[in-house]
Amino acid sequence: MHRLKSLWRASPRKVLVAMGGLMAAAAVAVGSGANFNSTSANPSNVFTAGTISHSNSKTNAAILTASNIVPGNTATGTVDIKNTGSASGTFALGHTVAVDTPASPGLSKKITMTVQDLGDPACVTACPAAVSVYTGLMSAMPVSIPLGVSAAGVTHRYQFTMSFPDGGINGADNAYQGASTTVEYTWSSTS
Amino acid sequence: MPDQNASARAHEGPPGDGSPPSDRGRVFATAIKLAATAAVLAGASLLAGAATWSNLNATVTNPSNSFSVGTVNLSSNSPSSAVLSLAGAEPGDFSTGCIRISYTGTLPAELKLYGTGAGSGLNQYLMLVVTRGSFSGTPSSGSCTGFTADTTNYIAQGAGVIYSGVLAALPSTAASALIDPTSANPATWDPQSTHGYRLQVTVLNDARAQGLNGRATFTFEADSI
Repeated sequence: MHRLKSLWRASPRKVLVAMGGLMAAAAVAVGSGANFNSTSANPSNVFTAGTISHSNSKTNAAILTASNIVPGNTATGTVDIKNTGSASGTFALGHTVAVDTPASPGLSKKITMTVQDLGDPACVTACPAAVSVYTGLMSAMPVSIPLGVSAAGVTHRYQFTMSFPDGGINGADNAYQGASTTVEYTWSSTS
Repeated sequence: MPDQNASARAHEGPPGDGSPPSDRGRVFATAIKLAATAAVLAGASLLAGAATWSNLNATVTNPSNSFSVGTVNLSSNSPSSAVLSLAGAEPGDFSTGCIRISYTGTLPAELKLYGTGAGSGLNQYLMLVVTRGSFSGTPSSGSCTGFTADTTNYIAQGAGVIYSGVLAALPSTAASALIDPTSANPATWDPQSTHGYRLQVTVLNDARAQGLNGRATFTFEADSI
Protein backbone atom coordinates (compact mmCIF):
# COMPACT_ATOMS: atom_id res chain seq x y z
CA MET A 1 0.00 0.00 0.00
CA HIS A 2 2.86 2.30 0.92
CA ARG A 3 4.42 1.61 -2.46
CA LEU A 4 1.22 2.39 -4.23
CA LYS A 5 1.05 5.73 -2.44
CA SER A 6 4.60 6.45 -3.36
CA LEU A 7 3.92 5.48 -6.94
CA TRP A 8 0.80 7.73 -7.00
CA ARG A 9 2.84 10.61 -5.74
CA ALA A 10 5.56 9.95 -8.28
CA SER A 11 3.37 9.28 -11.28
CA PRO A 12 -0.46 9.26 -11.00
CA ARG A 13 -0.76 8.50 -14.69
CA LYS A 14 1.12 5.24 -14.35
CA VAL A 15 -1.18 4.19 -11.52
CA LEU A 16 -4.27 4.92 -13.61
CA VAL A 17 -2.87 3.11 -16.64
CA ALA A 18 -2.01 0.11 -14.51
CA MET A 19 -5.55 -0.01 -12.99
CA GLY A 20 -7.06 0.21 -16.46
CA GLY A 21 -4.91 -2.71 -17.57
CA LEU A 22 -6.09 -4.77 -14.59
CA MET A 23 -9.76 -4.05 -15.40
CA ALA A 24 -9.22 -5.08 -19.00
CA ALA A 25 -7.59 -8.27 -17.88
CA ALA A 26 -10.50 -9.03 -15.57
CA ALA A 27 -12.90 -8.48 -18.45
CA VAL A 28 -10.96 -10.87 -20.65
CA ALA A 29 -11.01 -13.45 -17.88
CA VAL A 30 -14.81 -13.24 -17.60
CA GLY A 31 -15.21 -13.42 -21.35
CA SER A 32 -13.19 -16.55 -21.58
CA GLY A 33 -15.01 -18.43 -18.78
CA ALA A 34 -17.20 -20.71 -20.91
CA ASN A 35 -19.81 -23.08 -19.43
CA PHE A 36 -23.06 -24.81 -20.37
CA ASN A 37 -26.16 -22.65 -20.42
CA SER A 38 -29.70 -22.50 -21.64
CA THR A 39 -31.85 -19.51 -22.59
CA SER A 40 -35.46 -18.89 -23.46
CA ALA A 41 -36.97 -15.73 -24.86
CA ASN A 42 -40.28 -13.88 -24.58
CA PRO A 43 -40.27 -11.74 -27.67
CA SER A 44 -42.75 -9.27 -29.03
CA ASN A 45 -43.59 -7.56 -25.79
CA VAL A 46 -45.32 -4.58 -27.42
CA PHE A 47 -46.21 -1.43 -25.60
CA THR A 48 -48.57 0.99 -27.33
CA ALA A 49 -49.56 4.36 -25.92
CA GLY A 50 -53.30 4.90 -25.61
CA THR A 51 -54.99 7.76 -27.40
CA ILE A 52 -57.03 10.52 -25.82
CA SER A 53 -59.56 12.19 -28.02
CA HIS A 54 -63.23 12.99 -28.04
CA SER A 55 -65.82 14.07 -30.50
CA ASN A 56 -68.18 16.99 -30.09
CA SER A 57 -71.47 16.91 -31.95
CA LYS A 58 -71.29 20.68 -32.31
CA THR A 59 -67.59 21.26 -32.76
CA ASN A 60 -66.77 24.91 -33.22
CA ALA A 61 -70.45 25.76 -33.13
CA ALA A 62 -72.72 27.12 -30.44
CA ILE A 63 -74.61 24.74 -28.19
CA LEU A 64 -77.45 27.19 -27.89
CA THR A 65 -78.26 30.72 -28.86
CA ALA A 66 -81.28 32.85 -28.14
CA SER A 67 -82.06 36.28 -29.49
CA ASN A 68 -84.73 38.83 -28.77
CA ILE A 69 -85.45 37.20 -25.46
CA VAL A 70 -87.74 38.70 -22.85
CA PRO A 71 -88.04 38.11 -19.11
CA GLY A 72 -89.38 34.65 -18.48
CA ASN A 73 -87.89 33.12 -21.61
CA THR A 74 -85.85 29.93 -21.58
CA ALA A 75 -83.76 28.26 -24.26
CA THR A 76 -82.28 24.78 -24.38
CA GLY A 77 -79.52 23.16 -26.36
CA THR A 78 -77.69 19.84 -26.20
CA VAL A 79 -74.29 18.56 -27.21
CA ASP A 80 -72.93 15.01 -27.32
CA ILE A 81 -69.40 14.42 -26.10
CA LYS A 82 -67.95 11.01 -26.98
CA ASN A 83 -64.66 9.55 -25.81
CA THR A 84 -63.21 8.47 -29.15
CA GLY A 85 -59.82 7.62 -27.71
CA SER A 86 -58.58 4.16 -26.84
CA ALA A 87 -58.21 4.93 -23.16
CA SER A 88 -60.41 6.22 -20.41
CA GLY A 89 -60.33 9.95 -19.98
CA THR A 90 -61.07 12.39 -17.22
CA PHE A 91 -63.38 15.00 -18.68
CA ALA A 92 -63.99 18.59 -17.66
CA LEU A 93 -66.12 21.49 -18.84
CA GLY A 94 -64.58 24.92 -19.01
CA HIS A 95 -65.61 28.28 -20.40
CA THR A 96 -64.37 31.71 -21.23
CA VAL A 97 -65.44 34.79 -19.32
CA ALA A 98 -68.77 35.89 -20.75
CA VAL A 99 -68.63 39.05 -22.80
CA ASP A 100 -71.52 41.33 -21.80
CA THR A 101 -72.73 44.17 -23.96
CA PRO A 102 -73.14 46.56 -22.30
CA ALA A 103 -70.82 45.57 -19.48
CA SER A 104 -73.24 46.96 -16.92
CA PRO A 105 -75.59 45.70 -15.61
CA GLY A 106 -74.28 42.63 -17.44
CA LEU A 107 -76.69 40.12 -18.88
CA SER A 108 -74.53 37.17 -17.77
CA LYS A 109 -75.12 38.31 -14.19
CA LYS A 110 -78.87 38.11 -14.72
CA ILE A 111 -79.58 34.97 -16.68
CA THR A 112 -79.18 31.53 -15.18
CA MET A 113 -77.63 28.47 -16.74
CA THR A 114 -78.38 24.85 -15.97
CA VAL A 115 -76.14 22.10 -17.29
CA GLN A 116 -77.18 18.48 -16.95
CA ASP A 117 -75.49 15.25 -17.93
CA LEU A 118 -78.25 13.23 -19.57
CA GLY A 119 -76.02 10.21 -20.04
CA ASP A 120 -75.76 8.06 -23.14
CA PRO A 121 -78.31 9.24 -25.71
CA ALA A 122 -78.50 5.68 -27.06
CA CYS A 123 -79.71 4.34 -23.74
CA VAL A 124 -83.30 3.12 -23.91
CA THR A 125 -83.80 0.98 -20.83
CA ALA A 126 -82.71 1.28 -17.21
CA CYS A 127 -80.97 4.50 -18.02
CA PRO A 128 -79.34 6.38 -15.19
CA ALA A 129 -80.95 9.59 -14.01
CA ALA A 130 -79.67 12.89 -15.27
CA VAL A 131 -76.86 14.38 -13.25
CA SER A 132 -76.70 18.07 -12.44
CA VAL A 133 -73.43 19.57 -13.58
CA TYR A 134 -74.16 23.22 -12.79
CA THR A 135 -77.06 25.43 -11.80
CA GLY A 136 -76.63 29.12 -11.18
CA LEU A 137 -75.89 32.46 -12.70
CA MET A 138 -74.13 32.25 -16.03
CA SER A 139 -71.42 34.56 -14.74
CA ALA A 140 -70.79 32.43 -11.66
CA MET A 141 -70.04 29.15 -13.42
CA PRO A 142 -66.71 27.72 -12.22
CA VAL A 143 -63.86 28.03 -14.66
CA SER A 144 -63.58 24.25 -14.82
CA ILE A 145 -66.17 21.69 -13.77
CA PRO A 146 -65.02 18.07 -13.42
CA LEU A 147 -67.26 15.66 -15.29
CA GLY A 148 -65.67 12.42 -14.13
CA VAL A 149 -64.07 9.56 -15.98
CA SER A 150 -65.51 8.36 -19.24
CA ALA A 151 -64.49 5.01 -20.72
CA ALA A 152 -63.43 4.67 -24.32
CA GLY A 153 -66.37 4.74 -26.68
CA VAL A 154 -68.82 6.20 -24.17
CA THR A 155 -71.00 9.17 -25.10
CA HIS A 156 -72.54 11.70 -22.74
CA ARG A 157 -75.24 14.13 -23.77
CA TYR A 158 -75.14 17.47 -21.99
CA GLN A 159 -78.14 19.76 -21.90
CA PHE A 160 -77.73 23.50 -21.43
CA THR A 161 -80.75 25.54 -20.38
CA MET A 162 -80.69 29.32 -20.26
CA SER A 163 -83.33 31.22 -18.30
CA PHE A 164 -84.01 34.94 -18.18
CA PRO A 165 -85.79 35.47 -14.85
CA ASP A 166 -88.80 37.73 -14.87
CA GLY A 167 -88.08 40.60 -12.53
CA GLY A 168 -91.68 41.78 -12.40
CA ILE A 169 -94.15 44.16 -14.02
CA ASN A 170 -93.81 47.77 -15.08
CA GLY A 171 -90.52 47.31 -16.84
CA ALA A 172 -88.61 45.91 -13.90
CA ASP A 173 -86.06 44.41 -16.31
CA ASN A 174 -85.85 47.40 -18.64
CA ALA A 175 -82.18 47.79 -17.77
CA TYR A 176 -81.49 44.67 -19.81
CA GLN A 177 -83.27 45.78 -22.96
CA GLY A 178 -81.00 45.24 -25.93
CA ALA A 179 -78.31 43.59 -23.80
CA SER A 180 -76.37 40.57 -25.01
CA THR A 181 -73.79 38.14 -23.73
CA THR A 182 -71.56 35.58 -25.40
CA VAL A 183 -69.55 32.71 -23.94
CA GLU A 184 -67.41 29.86 -25.26
CA TYR A 185 -67.46 26.40 -23.70
CA THR A 186 -64.47 24.07 -23.80
CA TRP A 187 -64.43 20.33 -23.25
CA SER A 188 -61.17 18.69 -22.21
CA SER A 189 -60.17 15.14 -21.60
CA THR A 190 -57.00 13.99 -19.89
CA SER A 191 -55.53 10.56 -19.44
CA MET B 1 -7.76 37.03 7.68
CA PRO B 2 -8.91 34.35 5.17
CA ASP B 3 -6.32 32.51 3.21
CA GLN B 4 -7.00 33.84 -0.25
CA ASN B 5 -4.64 31.32 -1.86
CA ALA B 6 -6.42 28.29 -0.45
CA SER B 7 -8.73 27.97 -3.44
CA ALA B 8 -5.84 28.15 -5.88
CA ARG B 9 -3.99 25.50 -3.95
CA ALA B 10 -6.93 23.18 -3.93
CA HIS B 11 -6.72 22.99 -7.70
CA GLU B 12 -3.04 22.07 -7.57
CA GLY B 13 -3.30 18.75 -5.65
CA PRO B 14 -2.16 17.62 -2.23
CA PRO B 15 0.33 20.07 -0.77
CA GLY B 16 3.77 19.15 0.40
CA ASP B 17 4.11 15.82 -1.48
CA GLY B 18 7.19 16.91 -3.38
CA SER B 19 5.81 16.24 -6.83
CA PRO B 20 5.73 18.95 -9.45
CA PRO B 21 2.65 21.14 -8.71
CA SER B 22 1.86 21.58 -12.39
CA ASP B 23 1.25 17.82 -13.09
CA ARG B 24 -0.87 17.27 -9.99
CA GLY B 25 -2.85 20.40 -10.71
CA ARG B 26 -3.70 19.27 -14.22
CA VAL B 27 -4.88 15.87 -13.03
CA PHE B 28 -7.14 17.32 -10.33
CA ALA B 29 -8.37 20.01 -12.67
CA THR B 30 -9.30 17.37 -15.21
CA ALA B 31 -11.11 15.34 -12.57
CA ILE B 32 -13.07 18.38 -11.45
CA LYS B 33 -14.01 19.28 -15.01
CA LEU B 34 -15.24 15.74 -15.63
CA ALA B 35 -17.32 15.83 -12.45
CA ALA B 36 -18.77 19.20 -13.37
CA THR B 37 -19.62 18.00 -16.86
CA ALA B 38 -21.33 14.92 -15.44
CA ALA B 39 -23.33 17.09 -13.04
CA VAL B 40 -24.45 19.41 -15.81
CA LEU B 41 -25.48 16.49 -18.00
CA ALA B 42 -27.38 14.91 -15.12
CA GLY B 43 -29.18 18.17 -14.41
CA ALA B 44 -30.07 18.65 -18.04
CA SER B 45 -31.46 15.13 -18.18
CA LEU B 46 -33.65 15.82 -15.16
CA LEU B 47 -34.94 19.04 -16.66
CA ALA B 48 -35.65 17.40 -19.99
CA GLY B 49 -37.48 14.59 -18.25
CA ALA B 50 -39.64 17.01 -16.29
CA ALA B 51 -40.57 18.94 -19.42
CA THR B 52 -41.77 15.85 -21.23
CA TRP B 53 -43.63 14.35 -18.24
CA SER B 54 -47.20 15.18 -19.14
CA ASN B 55 -50.61 13.61 -19.60
CA LEU B 56 -52.30 12.95 -22.88
CA ASN B 57 -55.13 15.36 -23.39
CA ALA B 58 -57.53 16.78 -25.95
CA THR B 59 -59.86 19.77 -26.08
CA VAL B 60 -62.70 20.94 -28.27
CA THR B 61 -64.73 24.10 -28.01
CA ASN B 62 -68.23 25.37 -28.56
CA PRO B 63 -67.88 29.10 -29.22
CA SER B 64 -70.40 31.86 -29.71
CA ASN B 65 -73.07 30.76 -27.30
CA SER B 66 -74.90 34.05 -27.30
CA PHE B 67 -78.02 35.47 -25.77
CA SER B 68 -79.52 38.83 -26.54
CA VAL B 69 -82.46 40.62 -25.05
CA GLY B 70 -85.07 42.21 -27.25
CA THR B 71 -86.10 45.84 -27.05
CA VAL B 72 -89.34 47.77 -26.66
CA ASN B 73 -89.11 51.35 -27.82
CA LEU B 74 -91.79 53.94 -28.54
CA SER B 75 -91.38 57.36 -29.96
CA SER B 76 -93.82 60.20 -30.38
CA ASN B 77 -93.88 63.27 -32.56
CA SER B 78 -95.09 65.19 -29.51
CA PRO B 79 -92.94 63.97 -26.65
CA SER B 80 -93.52 65.63 -23.30
CA SER B 81 -95.59 68.42 -24.73
CA ALA B 82 -99.27 69.32 -24.36
CA VAL B 83 -101.54 68.67 -27.31
CA LEU B 84 -104.76 69.95 -25.73
CA SER B 85 -105.58 73.28 -24.20
CA LEU B 86 -108.72 75.10 -23.04
CA ALA B 87 -108.92 78.45 -21.37
CA GLY B 88 -112.10 80.20 -20.20
CA ALA B 89 -114.05 77.43 -21.80
CA GLU B 90 -117.82 77.21 -21.96
CA PRO B 91 -120.06 74.17 -22.43
CA GLY B 92 -119.49 72.75 -25.90
CA ASP B 93 -116.02 74.17 -26.29
CA PHE B 94 -113.48 71.61 -27.29
CA SER B 95 -109.80 71.13 -27.97
CA THR B 96 -108.31 68.63 -30.41
CA GLY B 97 -104.78 67.41 -30.75
CA CYS B 98 -103.10 64.50 -32.46
CA ILE B 99 -100.10 62.34 -31.69
CA ARG B 100 -98.19 59.99 -33.94
CA ILE B 101 -96.77 56.98 -32.13
CA SER B 102 -93.99 54.95 -33.73
CA TYR B 103 -92.59 51.67 -32.56
CA THR B 104 -88.90 50.88 -33.00
CA GLY B 105 -88.49 47.91 -30.68
CA THR B 106 -87.43 44.45 -31.79
CA LEU B 107 -90.08 42.57 -29.84
CA PRO B 108 -93.73 42.30 -30.76
CA ALA B 109 -95.67 44.44 -28.35
CA GLU B 110 -99.07 45.77 -27.45
CA LEU B 111 -99.84 49.41 -26.83
CA LYS B 112 -101.53 50.76 -23.74
CA LEU B 113 -103.03 54.17 -23.04
CA TYR B 114 -103.69 55.63 -19.64
CA GLY B 115 -103.75 59.03 -18.07
CA THR B 116 -103.41 60.80 -14.77
CA GLY B 117 -105.34 63.91 -13.85
CA ALA B 118 -104.97 66.86 -11.56
CA GLY B 119 -106.70 70.15 -10.92
CA SER B 120 -109.78 71.21 -9.01
CA GLY B 121 -112.18 68.78 -10.66
CA LEU B 122 -112.91 69.89 -14.19
CA ASN B 123 -111.75 66.55 -15.61
CA GLN B 124 -115.02 64.93 -14.62
CA TYR B 125 -116.87 67.46 -16.81
CA LEU B 126 -114.68 67.02 -19.83
CA MET B 127 -115.70 64.47 -22.43
CA LEU B 128 -112.71 62.70 -23.94
CA VAL B 129 -112.78 60.90 -27.29
CA VAL B 130 -109.69 59.04 -28.50
CA THR B 131 -109.68 58.02 -32.13
CA ARG B 132 -107.16 55.72 -33.73
CA GLY B 133 -106.00 56.35 -37.27
CA SER B 134 -103.04 57.08 -39.47
CA PHE B 135 -101.19 60.05 -40.90
CA SER B 136 -100.29 60.92 -44.40
CA GLY B 137 -97.02 62.76 -44.33
CA THR B 138 -95.19 63.88 -41.25
CA PRO B 139 -97.35 65.82 -38.82
CA SER B 140 -95.95 68.56 -36.66
CA SER B 141 -96.26 68.21 -32.91
CA GLY B 142 -99.90 68.10 -31.84
CA SER B 143 -101.18 68.72 -35.35
CA CYS B 144 -103.98 66.64 -36.86
CA THR B 145 -103.14 67.62 -40.42
CA GLY B 146 -103.19 64.49 -42.54
CA PHE B 147 -104.92 62.40 -39.88
CA THR B 148 -107.42 59.79 -41.08
CA ALA B 149 -109.40 57.72 -38.60
CA ASP B 150 -109.48 53.96 -38.90
CA THR B 151 -112.64 52.70 -40.53
CA THR B 152 -113.16 50.03 -37.90
CA ASN B 153 -115.81 50.84 -35.31
CA TYR B 154 -113.92 49.33 -32.43
CA ILE B 155 -116.22 50.10 -29.50
CA ALA B 156 -119.44 51.06 -31.26
CA GLN B 157 -118.69 54.76 -30.82
CA GLY B 158 -117.76 55.56 -34.37
CA ALA B 159 -115.01 54.85 -36.84
CA GLY B 160 -111.66 54.46 -35.15
CA VAL B 161 -112.86 55.47 -31.67
CA ILE B 162 -111.15 53.50 -28.92
CA TYR B 163 -112.33 55.57 -25.94
CA SER B 164 -115.30 57.77 -25.30
CA GLY B 165 -115.99 58.93 -21.78
CA VAL B 166 -115.23 61.59 -19.24
CA LEU B 167 -111.58 62.41 -18.86
CA ALA B 168 -111.62 61.56 -15.17
CA ALA B 169 -112.67 57.99 -16.00
CA LEU B 170 -109.73 57.26 -18.25
CA PRO B 171 -107.72 54.43 -16.67
CA SER B 172 -104.87 55.88 -14.68
CA THR B 173 -102.45 52.95 -14.41
CA ALA B 174 -100.69 50.56 -16.74
CA ALA B 175 -102.45 47.68 -15.08
CA SER B 176 -105.88 49.07 -15.91
CA ALA B 177 -104.95 50.83 -19.14
CA LEU B 178 -106.81 50.80 -22.42
CA ILE B 179 -105.41 48.25 -24.79
CA ASP B 180 -105.00 49.43 -28.35
CA PRO B 181 -107.46 49.26 -29.94
CA THR B 182 -109.44 46.98 -27.62
CA SER B 183 -108.52 44.51 -24.91
CA ALA B 184 -110.55 41.86 -26.72
CA ASN B 185 -108.55 42.25 -29.92
CA PRO B 186 -105.27 43.93 -29.13
CA ALA B 187 -103.12 44.96 -32.03
CA THR B 188 -99.61 43.59 -32.28
CA TRP B 189 -97.05 46.29 -32.73
CA ASP B 190 -94.14 45.10 -34.80
CA PRO B 191 -90.99 47.04 -35.59
CA GLN B 192 -91.77 50.13 -37.66
CA SER B 193 -95.46 50.14 -36.72
CA THR B 194 -96.90 53.64 -36.67
CA HIS B 195 -100.36 54.87 -35.76
CA GLY B 196 -101.98 58.19 -35.10
CA TYR B 197 -104.26 59.10 -32.21
CA ARG B 198 -106.60 62.02 -32.11
CA LEU B 199 -107.59 63.28 -28.68
CA GLN B 200 -110.49 65.62 -28.22
CA VAL B 201 -111.93 67.02 -24.99
CA THR B 202 -115.27 68.82 -24.89
CA VAL B 203 -116.70 70.75 -21.97
CA LEU B 204 -119.92 69.12 -20.83
CA ASN B 205 -123.00 71.22 -20.26
CA ASP B 206 -122.99 71.00 -16.50
CA ALA B 207 -123.12 74.02 -14.24
CA ARG B 208 -120.96 72.28 -11.67
CA ALA B 209 -118.00 72.72 -14.03
CA GLN B 210 -118.00 76.49 -13.52
CA GLY B 211 -114.73 77.84 -12.17
CA LEU B 212 -112.98 74.49 -12.16
CA ASN B 213 -109.72 73.63 -13.78
CA GLY B 214 -108.05 70.43 -14.74
CA ARG B 215 -104.89 68.93 -16.10
CA ALA B 216 -104.12 65.56 -17.62
CA THR B 217 -101.09 63.59 -18.67
CA PHE B 218 -101.59 60.92 -21.31
CA THR B 219 -99.23 58.00 -21.41
CA PHE B 220 -98.72 55.57 -24.24
CA GLU B 221 -96.89 52.45 -23.15
CA ALA B 222 -95.69 49.48 -25.15
CA ASP B 223 -95.31 46.12 -23.45
CA SER B 224 -93.69 43.14 -25.03
CA ILE B 225 -96.01 40.22 -25.56
